[in-house]
Amino acid sequence: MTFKRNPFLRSWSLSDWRLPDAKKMSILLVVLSLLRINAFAFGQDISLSMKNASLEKVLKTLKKRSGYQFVYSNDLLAKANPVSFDITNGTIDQVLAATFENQPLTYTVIEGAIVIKPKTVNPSPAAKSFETTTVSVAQQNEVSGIVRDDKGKPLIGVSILVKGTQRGVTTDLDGKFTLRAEPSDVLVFSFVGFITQEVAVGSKTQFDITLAGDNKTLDEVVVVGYGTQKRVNLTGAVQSVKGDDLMKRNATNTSNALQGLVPGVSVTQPSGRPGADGATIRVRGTGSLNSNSNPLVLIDGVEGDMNYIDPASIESISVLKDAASASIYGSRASNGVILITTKRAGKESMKVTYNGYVGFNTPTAMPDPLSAIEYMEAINVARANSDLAPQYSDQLIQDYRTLGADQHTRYETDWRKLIIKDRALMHNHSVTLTTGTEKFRFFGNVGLFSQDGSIANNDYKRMTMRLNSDAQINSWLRVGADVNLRSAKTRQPALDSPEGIINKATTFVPVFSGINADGTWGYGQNGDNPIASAEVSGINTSLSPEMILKGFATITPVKNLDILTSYSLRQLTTNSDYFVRPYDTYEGGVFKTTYPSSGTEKYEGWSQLLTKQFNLQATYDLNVKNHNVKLLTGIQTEDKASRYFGGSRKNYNFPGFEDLDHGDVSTSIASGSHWDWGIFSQFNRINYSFKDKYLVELNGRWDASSRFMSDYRWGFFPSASIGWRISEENFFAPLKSAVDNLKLRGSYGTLGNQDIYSYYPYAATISPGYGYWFEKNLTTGAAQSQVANEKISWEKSTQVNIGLDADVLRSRLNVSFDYYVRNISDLLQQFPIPIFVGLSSPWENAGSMRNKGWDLSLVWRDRIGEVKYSVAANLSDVKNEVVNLYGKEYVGTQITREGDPIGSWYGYVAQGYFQSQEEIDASPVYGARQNVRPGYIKYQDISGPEGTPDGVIDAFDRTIIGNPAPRYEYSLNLSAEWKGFDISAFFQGVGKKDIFYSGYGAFPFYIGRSMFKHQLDYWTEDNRNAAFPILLIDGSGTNPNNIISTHWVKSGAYGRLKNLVIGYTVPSRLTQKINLNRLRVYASGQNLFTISNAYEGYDPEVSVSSGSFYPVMKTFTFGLDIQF
Amino acid sequence: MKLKHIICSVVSASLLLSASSCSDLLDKEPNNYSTSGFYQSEAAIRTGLTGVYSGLYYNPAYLLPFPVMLDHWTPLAVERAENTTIGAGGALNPDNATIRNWWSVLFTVVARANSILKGSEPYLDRLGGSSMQYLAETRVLRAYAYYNLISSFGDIPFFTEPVSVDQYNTTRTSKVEVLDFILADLAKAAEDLPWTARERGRVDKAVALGLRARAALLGGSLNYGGKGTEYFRIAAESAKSVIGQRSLANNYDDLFNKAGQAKADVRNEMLFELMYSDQGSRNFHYIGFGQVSRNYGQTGRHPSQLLADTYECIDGKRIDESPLYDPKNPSQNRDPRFRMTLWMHGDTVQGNTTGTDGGRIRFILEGFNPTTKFYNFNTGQWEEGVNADINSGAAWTSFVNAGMGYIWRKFSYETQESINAQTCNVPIMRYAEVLLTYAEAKIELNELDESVYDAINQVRARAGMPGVSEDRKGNQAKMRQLVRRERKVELIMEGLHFVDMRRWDIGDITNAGPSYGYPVATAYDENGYITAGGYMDATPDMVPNFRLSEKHDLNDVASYEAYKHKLKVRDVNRFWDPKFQLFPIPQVELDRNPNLGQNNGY
Repeated sequence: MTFKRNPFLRSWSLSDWRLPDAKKMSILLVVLSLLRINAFAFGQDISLSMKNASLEKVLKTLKKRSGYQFVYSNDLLAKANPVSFDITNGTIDQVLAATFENQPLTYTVIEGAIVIKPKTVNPSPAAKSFETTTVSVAQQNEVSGIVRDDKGKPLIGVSILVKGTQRGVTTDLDGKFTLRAEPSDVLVFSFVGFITQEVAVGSKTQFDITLAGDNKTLDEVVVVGYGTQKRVNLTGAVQSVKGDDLMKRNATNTSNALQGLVPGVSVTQPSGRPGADGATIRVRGTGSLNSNSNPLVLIDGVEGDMNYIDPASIESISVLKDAASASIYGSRASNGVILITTKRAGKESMKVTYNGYVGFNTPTAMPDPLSAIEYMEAINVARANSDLAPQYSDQLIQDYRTLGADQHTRYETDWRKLIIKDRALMHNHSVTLTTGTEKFRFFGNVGLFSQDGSIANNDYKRMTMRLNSDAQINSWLRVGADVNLRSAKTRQPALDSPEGIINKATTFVPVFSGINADGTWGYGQNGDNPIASAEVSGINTSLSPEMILKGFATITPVKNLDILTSYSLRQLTTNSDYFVRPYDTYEGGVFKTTYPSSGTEKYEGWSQLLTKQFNLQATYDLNVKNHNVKLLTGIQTEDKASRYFGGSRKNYNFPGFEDLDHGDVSTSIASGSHWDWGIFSQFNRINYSFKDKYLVELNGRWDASSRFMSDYRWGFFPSASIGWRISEENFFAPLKSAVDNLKLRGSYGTLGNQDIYSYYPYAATISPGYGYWFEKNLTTGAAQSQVANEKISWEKSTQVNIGLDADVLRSRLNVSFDYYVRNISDLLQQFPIPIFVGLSSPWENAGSMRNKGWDLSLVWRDRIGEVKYSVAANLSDVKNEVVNLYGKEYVGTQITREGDPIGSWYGYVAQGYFQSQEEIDASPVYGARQNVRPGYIKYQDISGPEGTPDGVIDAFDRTIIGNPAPRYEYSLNLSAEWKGFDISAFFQGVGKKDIFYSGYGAFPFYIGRSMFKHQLDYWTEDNRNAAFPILLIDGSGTNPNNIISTHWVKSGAYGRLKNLVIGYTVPSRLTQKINLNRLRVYASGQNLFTISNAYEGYDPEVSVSSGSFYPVMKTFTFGLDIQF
Repeated sequence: MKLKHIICSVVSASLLLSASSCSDLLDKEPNNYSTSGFYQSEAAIRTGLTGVYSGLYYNPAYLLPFPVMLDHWTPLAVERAENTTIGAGGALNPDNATIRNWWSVLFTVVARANSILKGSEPYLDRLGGSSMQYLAETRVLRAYAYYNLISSFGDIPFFTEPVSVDQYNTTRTSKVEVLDFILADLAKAAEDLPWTARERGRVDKAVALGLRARAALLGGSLNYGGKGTEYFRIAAESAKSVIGQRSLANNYDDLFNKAGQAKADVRNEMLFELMYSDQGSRNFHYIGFGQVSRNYGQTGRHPSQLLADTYECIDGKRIDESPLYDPKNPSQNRDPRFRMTLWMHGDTVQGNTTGTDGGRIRFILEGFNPTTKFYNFNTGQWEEGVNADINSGAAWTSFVNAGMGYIWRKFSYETQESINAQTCNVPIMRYAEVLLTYAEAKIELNELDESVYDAINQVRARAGMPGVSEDRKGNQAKMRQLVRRERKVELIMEGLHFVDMRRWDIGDITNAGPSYGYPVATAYDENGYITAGGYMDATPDMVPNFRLSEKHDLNDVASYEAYKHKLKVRDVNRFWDPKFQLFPIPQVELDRNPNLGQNNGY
């Protein structure tokens, strides 16, 4: 009866016990290994007394008391003798020994379960063999031995099978085993967490086996351009991330999940806005001045957006960092390549998994606004500082103090509290089904992700479906079809962007009216009431369905030759619409205005991007003795076409009827346009290795782009790389026990970039869009807006990479280090031309810059007793220098000029505050001298027209005061597993970076806005070392304290606990009862704490340009992984 | 073998497929018209010309058209932030973004015009229809851009064809040469244009010649190349040729709102307008919204007391000379244009009109007390409400706190639509200006005849003011004073005083000190209500002194020194430097082409 209540046994068909014992046991072993039931601790105190109890009863009691699972068949128990013993404070060992003392049965402990089986006829004293007589054993010898881990500790429960048979044993509590085998047999030692080892029996009868920890690093296969490569044979700088590692992060999208996982890949999340919180990714620094610096992202070989896919469907992500590994993608690869491989089914029985989590988001940081009274007092101070009479009478401030705000004559609005939610809901569900046979394999994934925003009417929903199928038609033909469907919907208020609303929520004046006492909307600032904008101004919806269809066929006409052809179509459509619904505002009971006054308006737009890609490639493997050659050749065509149209009308007079047709026809507007371009490419690769010791790879790719004139269209992008596996040399043999793998790599190659924002930069064109209103009717007008350059061609980058890979101490420590120099030349840029030309600058191929850097990654994986743990650390740096701009420069608050990093902050050097009039009189000042008073920022006189300080603070005194590019990016991932518990903590940070704060987000009273609590630390006679200068009303943004200077540049360095996960995998003996293979629950947190020097209330990662930002979120989630 | 066949055919078919599509793939056409050979048809020239017109929309701030902005850079008006008016040196440096944009907008118009004029050259003999008219319009717009460039910057880089790469390091051309070119070009363009454009919004012969007069007056007043007299003569002749071809509107008030501008007589006076519309994709501006009371909208720009005091009394005399002036009630007995241009304390203000029942607001403009009266359209009653000009978070920039005691009524009094998205046109040139330009040129030539008095009288009579008094006739100085006064009160906010201030060289006296405004209250009760001061306590002696010097008298520049402690004060640090006569060349332009050189003093 026991087994009937034990679904575990039933599900594995052991109940009828028809199978030979050996087979049963081996199945059990495999199952138990799979279940990863951890070995348990002996030495627990048990006190138990039994008198003539049935074995079944004893086992049940033991199970209850100890928690151990017993595995047995009922027939077996029928043969058992009654049991008697009396043990006080004994170990489980002693109890078990007593229980089985007089039994025809014995037991084996396998990974926390106790397996009961008949005693063999001729038992060896040490081993508990389950070998049976079903196989005739004429010439067999008895062999025995011990299995240990790499620290020499005996391993219990290691499965030892005679290869090709069902015969086998497991090691006992001392790690020992005995079984019978022929000299020609091969023994297979396998144990979870260790690399399976095969040993030929031969004449030996005694074996001392050491199993190496299995971290798969040496055999790992990495996806590279148009193929795969064994990690140890890589010659380029390629780093790979497993899908599971991404899943663990519970990030809202894949780009954010990638943060910190790959050294040299800088991932910054500039916004927390649902659906628009994708990270900016830079591989080895910014790769271009003006053209696109984003890496090429290929999903199963097709260009795509990594944020559009369900992380659960990702098998792995490879980042091709150096020119040699990326050059197979030639013209597209200058900013690095990210290859995403989705999961495919293997030959396996059906498996269904569910991953889901629910959680909530809360902003990591928000600045604190002033209260009404603080605001009024501060305004009066600011006015007094400009010799102006107070704006708020003492009486009024007193009234606020004593009577408070009545929201009718005296207003106090906490905009932030009324607009920004404390927490927003987020949940994710993903179901995966895999199944496969010899002939047909199928992987299917359906995902749903939903995230609410921090303000009303702002959310994101993403539904994804991916179906990957493979069919082996016959021995030489394999075909497949992949379907990827996605639908994403974002909603946000129609009238203002979420960033705009959040900006107003933090900076609007607290004495403006938000919500009146009678419940009507307040007048806000001139009718602009961000609370109403968020809640009732209408909705802007964007619905973007995406479809990717891909078909492929692999033909193997002769052995080792594969011809692959594939065709894919990607159709990305965006349907957007908004309806602006104005709201009425009141103040003091008086109607003020309907905002916006432009009335109701509906817009609908449609745009579509069609990408067609065709590939044809052949690979050939040739192995002659120690020589291994791999050849790849192929062509690719890519055709991109985009179209859009949109239309709008205003004045909808009948509420509820909001189709375009219902609007006023005289306000009807329509627009539309298109562009298209294509690329033809031919690529080749040769891999050669000698004895797996000397590795060479050569790549060459030709690209032609329709975006250039035919004479300047073609680009050739070659690369070469070599590798030397020093560890395979004979002389290295003495070190081999400590260093499993040591490889030196070097590469050099050229890449191209054509991705400028102008689609036809060579053509001088006159474009429409310059209309005028004759007779009050809009008339089409056209104008040339840009100077053309017919000679425009590819931007190029070359990269030298030197790398070292080492797997040390039986692969427990993996080290990878790369140093590179990346030279970008023929920069696609628009050199400023004189404004009087009347046109914007043409694109030119001119100038060069250099990124120099290094990437280091260290991974340590080991176990201490039953605790499996790993520590992974990444550190990288990249330094940019503009080498040649022909002496020109781009200047604003940022400067790009020769010899300095691109986009460096450029401004004045603040030297504290002027503390007295005498000091002012004796110093050079910025702007009109009569305006300057104590408390103003004092600027350093650095230079003048003659190149020397000239007693005047003006443009000549600007200098480089910071670099916005992150440097010394680091991450640390700590994880551990113990008895079903897993915990991982992921720290990530930037060692050096400068942030310039400006505008509404930084300056008190900037153009009609309020200020923050922390800015109350302003200069006064009594607070001379204040954080902020003297308080002034800056009505038009001309306050001389607010110009760009070191005063407003803060360190953006930070370190943060990016992710913390604590999970528990319920023991399978429990989950089996409800027919689950696996059940894991976890809690996870993102951005839990941050150490930074940024201004109070601002996250160091988010881009706070002028106070318009969407905060990055602190996230708490609770999740569930189930496998059926 | 069969297998091989299949493979071969698959591979070769695929290769063929890709090879044949290769040329399609790589030979894509741009989605816009190519520049070469574009301007060979009437339609193309018209389309390109429309592009030139669209370049006229320049909004230095918040959809504020530049003519309105320009006059706020003079002491007749002030911007809301202290000491920042660009026209008087506030932030007037080579890095100023507004000045850089002004430079850029004007050169964009020049570039677009040049590409049409040059691009159509090869086809001139076979262009038909209205092509010649369109090309003439193009010349007028180019001349207009150049006029603004020389009046703002003096000598400038000058091109009559698209700029070539070897001209990127060109030097500046003398303003005199540029002026001579546009005077000739305008005369030529006028030949191909009708007196009144068939399509409203287009420039016509009246504009060509009116602009010629305006530009010549600049050269005359600043004595360009020592040829002042010659230019005054061109100004007089050009203006005279327009006189009689167009006429003044009946009602001054009609010129500055949507309903009035729809009238035929207004159309006739409006020579050149920036066009706005509520049709289709709608094109609107924020003039009204940005300058009215804080009870409805922004007060970002303020009229000055100096302007208010320039309006004569209804008897045709300056306020210090007329017995009708009452400091307690400054708007009484004044030139009717005073009330059509300005609103002040005590006036009933129309805040907004959307044309439907919702969205109307009417209230009493209150300069002293924290509450005021609002009209309830539902009950027909006046009700007490919060006066946002004093009692609100936005009050710091109200006419009370940041202003001189007035708000603009001109462009704010709108009867047909909401003023926060106005679609009334913005005048660039009116017939009234042509009349006054004629008069001024003739006065400067000292050719004082009836035609001069008649031109001025037409403008004054339309406003309801008496004609030129007998004591002025024949007196050049007194006529000069009158025509200057007339230009200020008639044309304020139309972008002309900005240049007039420089032509008359009065920046030094008008910008010599702070701006003074309305009489401030001296005592308040515990509720913040006025108990003493303000207009209540204004005394008859509170009349400004216009006679600080002959130049002050001539240009109606008032001094408030005697009772300034009773008045609201603004821009305490206002000052003048002769270099302000010209804008600096933008620094980025000098960076790109150092050969241009900077204007003196910057």
